[in-house]
Amino acid sequence: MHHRYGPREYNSDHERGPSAITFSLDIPLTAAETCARVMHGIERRGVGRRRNVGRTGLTSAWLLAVVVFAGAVVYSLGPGAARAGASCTEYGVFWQMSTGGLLAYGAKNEITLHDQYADPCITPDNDLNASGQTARVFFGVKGYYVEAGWQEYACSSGVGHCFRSFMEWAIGGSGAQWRSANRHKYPCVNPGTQAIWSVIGEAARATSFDGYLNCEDGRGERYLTTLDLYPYYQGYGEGEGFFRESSAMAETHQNLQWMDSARAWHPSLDVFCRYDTSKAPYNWNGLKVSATRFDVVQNAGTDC
Amino acid sequence: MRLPDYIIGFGRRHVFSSVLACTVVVAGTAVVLARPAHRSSAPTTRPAATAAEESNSAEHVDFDQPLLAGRKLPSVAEAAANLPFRPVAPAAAGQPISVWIPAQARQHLLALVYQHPSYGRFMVIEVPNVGTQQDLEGLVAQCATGCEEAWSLVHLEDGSEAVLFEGSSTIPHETTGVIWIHNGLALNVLGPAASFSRDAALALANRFNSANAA
Repeated sequence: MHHRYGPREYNSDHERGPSAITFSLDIPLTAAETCARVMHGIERRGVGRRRNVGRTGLTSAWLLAVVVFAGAVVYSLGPGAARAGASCTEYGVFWQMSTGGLLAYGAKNEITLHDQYADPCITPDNDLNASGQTARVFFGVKGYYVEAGWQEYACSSGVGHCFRSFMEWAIGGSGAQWRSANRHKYPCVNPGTQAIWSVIGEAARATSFDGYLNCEDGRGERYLTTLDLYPYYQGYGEGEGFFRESSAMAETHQNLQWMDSARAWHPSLDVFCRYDTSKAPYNWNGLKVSATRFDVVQNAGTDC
Repeated sequence: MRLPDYIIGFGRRHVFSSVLACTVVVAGTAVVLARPAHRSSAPTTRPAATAAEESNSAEHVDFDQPLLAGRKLPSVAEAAANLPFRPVAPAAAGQPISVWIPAQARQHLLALVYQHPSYGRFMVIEVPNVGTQQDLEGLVAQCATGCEEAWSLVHLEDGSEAVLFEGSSTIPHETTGVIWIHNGLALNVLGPAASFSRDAALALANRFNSANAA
């Protein structure tokens, strides 16, 4: 499982400081001096030998210089450059549960949580999320869904990474209620933990969906909120991983369940890739582990 | 600063070649250093995006193939034969360029995609109504704060109350559309916010609403 930092217990209000990388202005001078020393070494090895040995030394030096330069150009203009210059776009992978042909009225996923934040485009001011995972019901029309899960973001203090629950909906693809409403901090939503997230259509009011979080800490279900998805009420149970730019999203979705029209829960019969916007150079995918589990992985698994 | 003698001696013997070679190496180093950092939490010189510039969903409406594993049918009449309701497709809106129903027969839903000479690309989704006018209006109530688009209640020409959502034309993938209830169906007309206006959405909603009532 990929995460940039080792997991440790801490409250969501606590923060993890970024690791600073600084560049010194004297690096080019150091490179020039190093270059001269290399040339000098080649020259010294040529002392007392034939003149063509000296030429060979200079040829080698040139070869080295050209290789260094070419490598730098390739590194700067290759796939990584596209990543570095990309916008703060959100990408995701969506894996769906098989239900034997029945429609789902709710979805329940046990999802892990790790620190996945590595994104220079996320700041406390822009209020964007770096990474996250959800359990969701997709209504069959692309861009129409309801979901509950966790997201990672820049702490309001300006230092480190924070985590919170959220519940979101979309009709027309972008009615998503992603801002301050429906977001909460829970002490149990922390790196190194796992929790059960669910969205459940109400019995009496089919187009209303309730969200729940079970931190598996003995306190049972924590109610998140209720969202109106009129006129949608049935669809497909899914799990989603999402990230922006350079952050990651390696997590596990397991014990996947979907709810039928009689409000009975069933284990997923299979899992498969439904939609994937994380293409090269990021290339995140889902990896089927069992009929009720998939992992979100990079450069492995199944694309779609 | 005086350079060491061995560097000066080397330079005198191979002035041009060594200067050129060193220049290449230094240039390569500079190229690497000038490259923006990634996969690092270190700050960069690139300005951070604002929430108003970015879409906040990884999944968007698809105005070419709107449904998951949808069945593309040759006509609205063909769709009608596969649905438990009578589709609404007024001639005044033109002919849809594609007609879709879910591959899974248990889900009763129709998507009609249009390319109109005046309104451009738009789509109409029709489903049997499950819910009440109060549920419809609940969409606006829960968007009093915190939604990406502006959600409001409007009146169609027949006096019925509908929900209008207006996306930003500058945020990628946002949409503008109208949702309303009529004759046992819930209808949703929508188009890309960058090219589909509030007026276009309302005009088309009225056309579909009239046809449905006819």
